[in-house]
Amino acid sequence: MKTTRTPISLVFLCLFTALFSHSHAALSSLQQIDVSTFEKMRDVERYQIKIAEKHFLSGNFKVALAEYEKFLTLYEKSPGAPYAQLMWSHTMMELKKPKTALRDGFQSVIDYWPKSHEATIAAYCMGDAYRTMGEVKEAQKAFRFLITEYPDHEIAIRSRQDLLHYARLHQDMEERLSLLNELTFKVKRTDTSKEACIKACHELAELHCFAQKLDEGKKALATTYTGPALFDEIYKLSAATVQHLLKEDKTKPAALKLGDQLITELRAETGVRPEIAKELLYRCADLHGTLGRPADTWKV
Amino acid sequence: MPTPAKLPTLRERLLRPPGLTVAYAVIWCLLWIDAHAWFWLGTWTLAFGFLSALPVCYYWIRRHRQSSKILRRAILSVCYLPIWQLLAHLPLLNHSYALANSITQFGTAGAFFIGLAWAVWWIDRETKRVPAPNDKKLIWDPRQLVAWYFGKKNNKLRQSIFTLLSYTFLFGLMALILTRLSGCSLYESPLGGGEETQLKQIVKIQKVIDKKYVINPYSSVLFNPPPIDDIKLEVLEVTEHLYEVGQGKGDGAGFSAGTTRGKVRFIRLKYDGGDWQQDMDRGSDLNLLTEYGVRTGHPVSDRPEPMEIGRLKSFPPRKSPPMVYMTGQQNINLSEKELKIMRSYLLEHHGMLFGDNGGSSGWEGQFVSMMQKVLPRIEPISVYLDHPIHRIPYPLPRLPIVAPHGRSNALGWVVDGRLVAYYHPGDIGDAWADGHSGVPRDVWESSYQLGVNIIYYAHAEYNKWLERTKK
Repeated sequence: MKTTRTPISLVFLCLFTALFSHSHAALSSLQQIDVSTFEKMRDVERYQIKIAEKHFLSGNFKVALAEYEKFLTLYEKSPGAPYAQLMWSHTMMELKKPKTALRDGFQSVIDYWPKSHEATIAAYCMGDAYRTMGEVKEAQKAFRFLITEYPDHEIAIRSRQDLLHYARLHQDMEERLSLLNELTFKVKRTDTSKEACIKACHELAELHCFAQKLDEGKKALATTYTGPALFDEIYKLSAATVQHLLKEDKTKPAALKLGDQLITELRAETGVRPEIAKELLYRCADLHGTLGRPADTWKV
Repeated sequence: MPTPAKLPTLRERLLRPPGLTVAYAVIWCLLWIDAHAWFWLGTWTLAFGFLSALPVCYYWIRRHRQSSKILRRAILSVCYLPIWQLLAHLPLLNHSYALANSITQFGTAGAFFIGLAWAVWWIDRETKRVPAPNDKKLIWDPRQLVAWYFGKKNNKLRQSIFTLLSYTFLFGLMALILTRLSGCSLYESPLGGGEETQLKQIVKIQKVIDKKYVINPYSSVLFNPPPIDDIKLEVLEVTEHLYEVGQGKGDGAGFSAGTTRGKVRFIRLKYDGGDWQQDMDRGSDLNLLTEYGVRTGHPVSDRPEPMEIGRLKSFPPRKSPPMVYMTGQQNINLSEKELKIMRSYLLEHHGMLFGDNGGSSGWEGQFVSMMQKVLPRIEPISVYLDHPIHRIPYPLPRLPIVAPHGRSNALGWVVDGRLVAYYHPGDIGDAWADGHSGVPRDVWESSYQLGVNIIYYAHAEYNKWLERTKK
């Protein structure tokens, strides 16, 4: 009886094909066409867009640029024209020409199709282009404008994250707290915004812990966690902060203050969860030890 | 009764050899200060100035060849200084900065030991000469072996140690003062004006077409027509600058806030930890400076200037160099003070730092980490191709890389829309050097173009700032 065996070369070929097919980058959310726009486009227009996209994804940016230009020349009144213009600008960015992308690309999308979905994306991309060019003040201005104009849009979340990055870099605590508060408490949690909001609530809680405001930190974490999970997060964060603050003599009083707040929380939790009261008390004793109070450790 | 000898007048005294030598010594000191701080005179002028010390030294050595041993040695010791400075200066004529640096260092050691020998001789002679004190007060005079601070045992040894330490301290102090000698340096851009536009090559093609006869090939009349394709093309390439390279309103190429005596200079920063002088011996900086002068029509200095970072603070705010250059392939070790000076230079003096990776990917990390300390709140960006620094006066289709040392794009640190630091990863200085290090013509040509663009950008931005802040 003849048995059929898969040749090893075939396996390698399959692997290579699989790897090769995944080596191309996919379009980012800012580069994808709106489904409703795509529906309205004619077949020839779709074909032209696909050709340009293929070159864009394979890294032939100069060819892609020419193909998007061709689309704009041939189908100026197509519903896909703002998208083609947007992608032309993205291609310019890839060609390391953000100034041209900004002036002749993203700005044109806003000027010619101000009410389109792409105009909103282009407004964010303008801020991004300013950031690429190192013009921080202009970028911040653009991001703030987006937050005011499109508060519920995905780009508003991105803008807040970008502004947060600058606030961290410039050590602007006021703006940092304000943005974190917005992301934690004000922004509606959707599939796209959820991750950013959770990160923000953790960062806010950490800042409050460093400022020995455990209650505020608890409020921030309470937007994401409830019940025992909330307590565990608070304990994890506060204990780590106490350890960090104890490293320097200057911050030792702050560590003691935060430690006391945490011990109070632990004691209160023993009433809520009597089944793990023993473990919680051990944690209390351990914390006293960390804070350099051996007498209290024994007392507990 | 013999008549009293007539005292010589001041004029007579000055005209005697000692008077003339003192006057010469003053001029020599001025030349030395110019060579190290002012940079007004050219290298050749300074070389001739330093050479003129030779006949003076020769005269004094010859005059005292029969004098006492001590006097002869004193004259030889004094002559050591101008000869050492001359030897340290001569390699600069051939742009051998490393050799000049070595001679300076060895010469300093020589000067130290000569001075030490004289200090030991003097203290020994004085100890023998000074009479022993009669009273039992505390003796402070170091020439006395019984001085209280020499103690009661091993007085001679302690006196020698005291002499050595005192001399070393004084020598170090003097060396510190002289090496940090900067006075009030000035940097002035050349006066003029111009536009910030790209250099365009305008090619005018004029077609001169011969008269042709339209004939009927089937005609019975025989003509001798010229071949149809034989069209004489008279191609005339006219490449001219329709504008002058510069910034602001003014006559001639230059900068509106410049001065008539202003020149574009190329300052290379000296720093600890690395080979800051890389490629300088091969005329790298001078070649670029000359090319810049030829291509833009701006007056340029006739030599590059190596300069310690500390000296940047000697420039007043509105007369600072718009750009300084830094290269190497080893480490960059800057002190806190130097970092502060650099920060002040970049932000308050509106300067620009141009870093060129001379040959290792490690230097990139060194440069980036240095910039992180200088400007901690500024993130580096990848300098894009349509940035003015890559477009004006020469539009560059791609970044010229002589030898890739890591990344393929340039990094920039931007403050208020202005590039305050530009990092090039590909050893562009190699392409400027004599012989262009064997790189193809198009690479060294675009390297010169990028160099010109960077110098121009820094000067144009500086000029805009001067105009903006003019009172």
